[in-house]
Amino acid sequence: MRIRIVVNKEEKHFDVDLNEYLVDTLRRNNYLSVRRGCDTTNCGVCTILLDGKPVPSCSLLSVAVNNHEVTTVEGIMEEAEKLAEFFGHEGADQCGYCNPSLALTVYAMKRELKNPTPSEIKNYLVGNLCRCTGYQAQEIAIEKYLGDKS
Amino acid sequence: MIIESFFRPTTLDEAFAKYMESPKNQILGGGAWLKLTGSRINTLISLEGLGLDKIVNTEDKVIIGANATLRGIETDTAIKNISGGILSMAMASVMGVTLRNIATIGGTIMGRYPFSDVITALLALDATLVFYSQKNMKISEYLNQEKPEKDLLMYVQIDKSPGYGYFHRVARTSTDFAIVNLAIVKTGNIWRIAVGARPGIARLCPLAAEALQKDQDHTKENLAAVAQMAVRELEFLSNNKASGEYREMLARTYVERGLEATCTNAD
Repeated sequence: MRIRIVVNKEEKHFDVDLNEYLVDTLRRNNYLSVRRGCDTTNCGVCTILLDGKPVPSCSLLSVAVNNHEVTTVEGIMEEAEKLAEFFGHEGADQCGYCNPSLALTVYAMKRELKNPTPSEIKNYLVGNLCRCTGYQAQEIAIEKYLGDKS
Repeated sequence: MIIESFFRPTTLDEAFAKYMESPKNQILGGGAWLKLTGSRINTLISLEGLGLDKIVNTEDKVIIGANATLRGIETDTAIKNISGGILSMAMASVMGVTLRNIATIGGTIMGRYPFSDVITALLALDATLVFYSQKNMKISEYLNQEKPEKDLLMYVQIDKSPGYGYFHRVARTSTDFAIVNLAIVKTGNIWRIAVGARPGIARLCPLAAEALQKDQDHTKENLAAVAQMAVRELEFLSNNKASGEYREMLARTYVERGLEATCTNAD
């Protein structure tokens, strides 16, 4: 089946199998920042924005995304680079595998929640696992990023 | 899972007709656990574009479309104000925001997931399910049916009667399925106590609720006795997450605490 998706504001047409999930469609078409992890909605590394909301692409059938808008980390590069700087300063970055998905979720949170408390931030990010950092440095970096007015 | 064809109907009539065409035709809920089912689907039917993703707030009830996401329901202001916001709390306990952005209330109910926190809260809230063919049915009645009639769930209605509610879940980690979950709602003099993840699907405790209604002397001792009565109405079994004995102990403890909290806050 041929589907139409707007990826990072560019209209794209993909031929997909009915049983294919969005993570596979995107990766097959060189959107390699979308990572494959647990494949069961638990780890969050496959997160993309669907119509602006963070969702696990491993659990979205590609056919169900027809005529929707998808954003990968390349679509929010300016904000992702800002966040990366805060991550760097706090030593919150190790293997980097989960970073694109985390950046997308943090970006969505920034737009959805006004002045979130540390507890609200943690709750929002509960679906994004990181096996390296232990989260503390990430939390500090994210709080600083959200508080940055520059 | 193998999908033979995908159908996006333009009307509910079309959706229902296609659904009934074959026992192997299925409605697409959120799709989060579709790949884990391992079943063969002749036609997968999407409800997108049929207006079932909306939450309508009327004077006396909230009407939730079957395709509304758990996150949409969790953050809805009107729903947060019903019975202490227990439905929002139950929604917020389901894994992460990303999953809740795709999982739907219709998929949760029709999946009849025994571990579901959402179903337990809906049971205590005495939610009404609106089906395409069978029309209105209380969720308690639906859950009591061993083999429910094949039908298309369109809406979930919740009355906005003033009341107090309590919700609690126990799990090994915050994103894990509950070992046990429970919800209590008091509306006027009517009580509803629901316990789920036993590990069977959520059930009400009608005898305990009746005892609370009859005896208005809600002392700590009396509430403890009612909590004991509630767990005796239910069956607690063991699985790889917890033993039946442990579940029963947790349920009794939290029902008692929930009753105390409800009495304190409702009076």
